Amino acid sequence: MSLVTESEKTRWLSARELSLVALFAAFTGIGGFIRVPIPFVPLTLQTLMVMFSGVILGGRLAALSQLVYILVGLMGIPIFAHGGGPGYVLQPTFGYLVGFVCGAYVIGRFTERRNPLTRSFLCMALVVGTIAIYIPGVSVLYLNLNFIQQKAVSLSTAMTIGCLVVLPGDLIKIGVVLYFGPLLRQKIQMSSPDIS
Amino acid sequence: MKFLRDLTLGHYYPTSSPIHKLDPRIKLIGLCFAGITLFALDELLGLALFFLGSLWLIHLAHLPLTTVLRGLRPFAWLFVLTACLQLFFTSGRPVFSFDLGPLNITWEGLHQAVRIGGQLSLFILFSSILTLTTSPLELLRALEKFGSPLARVRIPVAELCLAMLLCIRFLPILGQEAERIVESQMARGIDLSSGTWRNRLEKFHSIFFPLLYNVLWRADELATAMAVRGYGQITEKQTLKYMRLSRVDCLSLAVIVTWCIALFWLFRG
Repeated sequence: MSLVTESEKTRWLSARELSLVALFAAFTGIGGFIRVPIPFVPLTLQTLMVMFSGVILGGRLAALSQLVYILVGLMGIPIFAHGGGPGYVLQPTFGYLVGFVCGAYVIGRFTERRNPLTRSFLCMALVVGTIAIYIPGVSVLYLNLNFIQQKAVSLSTAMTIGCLVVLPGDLIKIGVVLYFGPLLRQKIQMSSPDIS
Repeated sequence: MKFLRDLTLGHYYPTSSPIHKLDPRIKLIGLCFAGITLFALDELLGLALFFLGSLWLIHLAHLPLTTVLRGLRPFAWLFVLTACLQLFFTSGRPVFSFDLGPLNITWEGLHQAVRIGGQLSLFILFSSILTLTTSPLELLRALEKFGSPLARVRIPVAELCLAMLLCIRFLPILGQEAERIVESQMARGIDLSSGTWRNRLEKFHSIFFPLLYNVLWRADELATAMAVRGYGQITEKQTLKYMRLSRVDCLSLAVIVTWCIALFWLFRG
């Protein structure tokens, strides 16, 4: 972007970075409404965007875009899977939303300096990123069951519930990003080389 | 695919009431106080008094009861989960004299289900009242005000708030764009719900890529517009409307805090 001036670069986020963060957050929100009906697991753009934003934007901007998405949802805009609002923090699955920030950051950090992006490296980054989503997800699930629902649930049980339920869907998502990711990166770099 | 036309307003119910006029910071602090007190209460009577308080707030805010209850609907599965967990996994004195095996309900389980279900639904009710009576932009201003001390440790609160504002602004625009792309692909004969997995993913490609290019193009345009308007040149942010606490705001906060402390004192576990 030629119009991003030098003085602007001294700010924490340049105009272009800020607009990418905002628009990718909005894209993640809108993505929830677009479903591809695959048997057993409805594939939405929303969860895919965590991985795609990492591949496209790089660690810092991807994490910020997911953070903005969560904050906007908590402010009452119905962009989460079950609506929105501050009450959403009581959902046992709220940790996965927090995990989106960590996952996007991890995937972005791994892939941002890798050029060309090979499928085997992307696969490794996506697996580590998915683990980064599960850590806060399972932790919040454990805390929610033990302290809000007041049921003594061991960490291993929380891990079994929290991972096994979402794992099949996430494997499909990893497959989709593996299929499109390198192609996407190539196309975007051709159209705007300074994006990541 | 049905997009919410009023996505920018969220749950906000625009009307004129004393609760709508309250400073958003007071409402946020009030919600935090109410949340902490709610989860510290152990007696059902305390929760019942909280419920009466919420009804009074709904009346004061001129909110239709159906609109408030609609805000609770997305959380229905959370209530079902709570009820199942508490009713069937709590040991104690059985309610029924005959044996139901794993479906045995105990008096303790029933009490827990009502108490924890009540705490969850009341917190969601209060948060619903907050989002119904405060527009997202007002909430954003409150968050920016609360986060301003973090700017001293180089956390970009102002930038994050601006990104949130832009996100809210662009949600309906991108929504309509997505709707148009899906409709135009359907008009070309692309049916997402038929074909093999690989086939469906190829079709997904035809929606995802145009949307992504649209987002990148808009980001470029927005960055240019921001640069032209001097983003990054002006260090001190100026606002059209300054937030000042009025006497009513302070009095309301005092009432909320006193109410919460009194209930905590009387009905704590």
